[in-house]
Amino acid sequence: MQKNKNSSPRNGLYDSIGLNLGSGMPMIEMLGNRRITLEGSTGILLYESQNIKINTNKMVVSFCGRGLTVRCISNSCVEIEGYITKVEFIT
Amino acid sequence: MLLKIIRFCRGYVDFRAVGKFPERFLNLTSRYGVNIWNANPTDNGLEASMSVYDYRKIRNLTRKLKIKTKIKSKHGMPFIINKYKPRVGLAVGAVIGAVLLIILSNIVWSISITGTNRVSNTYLLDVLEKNGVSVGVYKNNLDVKSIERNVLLQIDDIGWMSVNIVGNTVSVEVKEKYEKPELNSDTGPCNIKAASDGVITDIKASKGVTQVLIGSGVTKGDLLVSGIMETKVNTIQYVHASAEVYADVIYQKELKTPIDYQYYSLTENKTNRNRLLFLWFDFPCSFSFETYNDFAADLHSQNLWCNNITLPIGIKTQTSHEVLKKNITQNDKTAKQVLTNSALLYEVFEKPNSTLVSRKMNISKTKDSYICKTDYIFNENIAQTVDFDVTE
Repeated sequence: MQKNKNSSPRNGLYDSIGLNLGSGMPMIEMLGNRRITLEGSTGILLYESQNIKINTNKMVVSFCGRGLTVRCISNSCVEIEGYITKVEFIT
Repeated sequence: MLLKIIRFCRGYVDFRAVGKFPERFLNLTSRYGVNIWNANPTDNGLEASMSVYDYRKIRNLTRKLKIKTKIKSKHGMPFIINKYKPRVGLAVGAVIGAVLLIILSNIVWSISITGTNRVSNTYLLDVLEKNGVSVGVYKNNLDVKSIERNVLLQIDDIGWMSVNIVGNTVSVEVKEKYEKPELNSDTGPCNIKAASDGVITDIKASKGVTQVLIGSGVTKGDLLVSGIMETKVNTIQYVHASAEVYADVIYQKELKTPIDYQYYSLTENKTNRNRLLFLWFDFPCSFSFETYNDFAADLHSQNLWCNNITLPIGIKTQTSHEVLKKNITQNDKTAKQVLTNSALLYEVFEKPNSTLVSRKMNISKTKDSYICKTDYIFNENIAQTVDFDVTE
């Protein structure tokens, strides 16, 4: 039996506020300005210690700051650590 | 922490990737399912860590991306194993050590006994050994309950015992039975009778009616002091007769000494042989080939002792003393001396509470021995407490 992707409690919450996770939008989770987890990445476009640009389906997300590093990377998820000063969405 | 342990076990490398587009390297590795961590961007590349297996896998990838990778440092178990690969003995030793450790940790190394007072520890150890508890046995085979039950059945003086296996030590706790209090039997009515034939020399009666006079002769079993007393109102009262009745008693003793006998004497020659004790094994550890035709040997063992626990490691020393066999022939003088000494020993040790009145020795010689017939007269207490007969 296939499980419905939108059946989790989290998706239920997003549904209630009118968001659709299946639309290809990246999901960004921030822990203060020190750690960012981005889900929905399709690749890293720029990797420097002051600027990391990540490509997603709909836009490019740019993180500026100091000492930025990729803590771990998988097929669709990137975790960035460092002192983040600016987040930019380039469409 | 767990992740670090896993990475350490699998082995990982810190490497530097130099090329024009390090981002592409990251993207491709993630697409191929290669894990990268601690990725830090540098001037013309990046520095990161990766497992050894993945690092081998990405060789083709780096060639395609025109990126040069260089290992900075290696970490983890595979590298340590690789380093010590030529030293096979080390690994074999480690395995043997581990096996020995497992075997020896399942063996009883010492037995400690607490709580004994009347029961001898050696006897208890002997009984425990008969029930399967001894140094060197496999501790997991010990059935503690059955051992406790059997030992309690075999040793009457033990009221309670507990056998505990703590590590490699068998700790035996014992509680002895309380002794029965002696009942005072001096209160019942009784008579005093003669324990042997003799001539009365002194009577000290504290209770009862004296039936004999000083100077009178008595035979064994004669009534000396009666426990039946007549009261002033002509009724009979039964008392516990108490008296000391001294009499001259005649004894005869025959002592014998052979004319020719063999005598062993120690010489100054001795040989020590040491053996190393370890559990139930003992290995010779000294070389001495000197042997004697006749010798007396004594064994002495010393064990290592640590924190109130006697360890089954020690040294057993056997000392052989050479003895010389001598044939001795006695003459009349030496025989008399020997027999007199024997007679004196008899007086001191067999009649310690008697006073010697007279001694008459008559030494005769037979074919192979000297015989001494001695007539003694001892002055001793012949009073013997005897309960009333039914007829009395």
